Amino acid sequence: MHKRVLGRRNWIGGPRTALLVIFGLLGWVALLGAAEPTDRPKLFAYDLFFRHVGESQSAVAQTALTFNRADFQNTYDLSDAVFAELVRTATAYTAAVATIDAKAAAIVTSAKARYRVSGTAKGPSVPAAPPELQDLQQQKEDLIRTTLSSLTGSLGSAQFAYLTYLLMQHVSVQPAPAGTPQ
Amino acid sequence: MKFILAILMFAGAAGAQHLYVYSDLQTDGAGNATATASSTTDYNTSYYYDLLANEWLWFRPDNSSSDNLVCSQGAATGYYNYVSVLCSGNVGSTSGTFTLESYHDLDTVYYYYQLQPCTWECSYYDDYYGYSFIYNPNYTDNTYIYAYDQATPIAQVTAINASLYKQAHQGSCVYPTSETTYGWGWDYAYWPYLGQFLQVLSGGTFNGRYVQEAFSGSPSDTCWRPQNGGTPITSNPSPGQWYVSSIVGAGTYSPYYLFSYSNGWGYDNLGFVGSNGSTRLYNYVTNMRPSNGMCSITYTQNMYMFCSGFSGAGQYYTTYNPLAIYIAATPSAASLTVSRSGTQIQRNYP
Repeated sequence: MHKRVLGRRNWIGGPRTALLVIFGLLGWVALLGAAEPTDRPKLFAYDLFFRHVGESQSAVAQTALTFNRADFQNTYDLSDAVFAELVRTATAYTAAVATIDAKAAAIVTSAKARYRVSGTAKGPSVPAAPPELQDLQQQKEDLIRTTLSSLTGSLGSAQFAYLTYLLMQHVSVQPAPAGTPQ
Repeated sequence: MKFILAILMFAGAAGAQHLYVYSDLQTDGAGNATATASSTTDYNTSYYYDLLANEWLWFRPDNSSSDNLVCSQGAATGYYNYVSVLCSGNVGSTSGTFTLESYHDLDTVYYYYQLQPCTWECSYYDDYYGYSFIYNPNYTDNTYIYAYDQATPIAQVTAINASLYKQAHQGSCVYPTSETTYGWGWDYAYWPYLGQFLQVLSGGTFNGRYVQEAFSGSPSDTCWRPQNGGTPITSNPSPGQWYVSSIVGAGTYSPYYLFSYSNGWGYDNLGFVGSNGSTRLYNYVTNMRPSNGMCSITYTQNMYMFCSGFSGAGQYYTTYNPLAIYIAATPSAASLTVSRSGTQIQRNYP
């Protein structure tokens, strides 16, 4: 009978454990004061949507018949004018978010390359995500909110609400585990 | 592990982790189709997990029972918070249905290490989120007990999955020309006074299509009497929707065994369910008008088939299907009969 012994030894008890648990509980206390933004699904949906529209405008996409504008406009019930505004918004967004993405990717890449099994370092424990990632996430979500505010102004709130309704039919949100992946 | 506990508790509080997925299927009516599928997550989650996305685009010609692969594409990224796949193809002018299936994963590959020797009992050490704590093979802790350099990594995968499914039809849609109803029996496992009917469509191949019922007018209920309490049945049930495919099964009514390679759907249920239904049936039988000993509840059903998927355009292929529940009762015996389009099944009550 196999037993997982070493990885779980002495993990309860002692003042050090108590301190660490207190540290963890502080996170939950922080959660009570700063709940996850309720507009996150919409923000991420538009992030995906803007990227899709932005990518579709590349020369490769248009020449390789990989974007059918008429069908896309029909799917989202977009007039030519609204589509043009959407393309302008999406292009500006993808350019702006690329800078933030690049900074985040550098941090993630560095950590994974260093600590993963194929890497060069042995981690003492699961490394905590650096605070810079949280800051970058905040910057990105602020960018999306600003972009959506601008788009709402351009389209009008009724048209924007309708576009959001249609977009959410194409998006699925799946919660990931908050704890140990096992 | 103590660190893990604290970190994970903090990570849990720092914000829930989610996988966000999107797909788009575009067709031009001339055989061209393009499929896009993309996934994203927040930066914090991408620190621990990797994104994957795979898509398959199929085309099933009308009157065919099989799908042909138009294109497929897969992509993975271990270092980024966004992944997108795109593929396209042309199927010519044949009428048929495109189906885009996309599967999106948020994965982490982690390891547990079997520490040697493993004479009397084996011990393991987990690496969470794919981050290496003991960095195979240079395991040096506890060499008093475990030999140096004897940690065997065994990969484990944990994943969050999401999938999206989209359909689009090219060309004019074909619809059934008729429908045959088979009385299949009673749902003895759950609701013994609920009759079940199976249907087989004719006029083409409709596997993968969806049918939905709609009702005309209001039901008629001649069974209700004031002494029953409650109210008569005056509203139609919520419309049901069914997927058309092959069906096979053994029923209690002729044909006792039904096998159809395609075009089957069901069950269409008719009868009494739940404690309210049981009470209603009991009251209807008990308080039957003594003059004729029979009453009925009737509905008028219309059947609609979608061109593709389970919403949007389509057409009715049968209208004014009579659905009926007949209750017959004398002081010494009672029976229940349910009927769909003239096909009846009957049982005694109770």
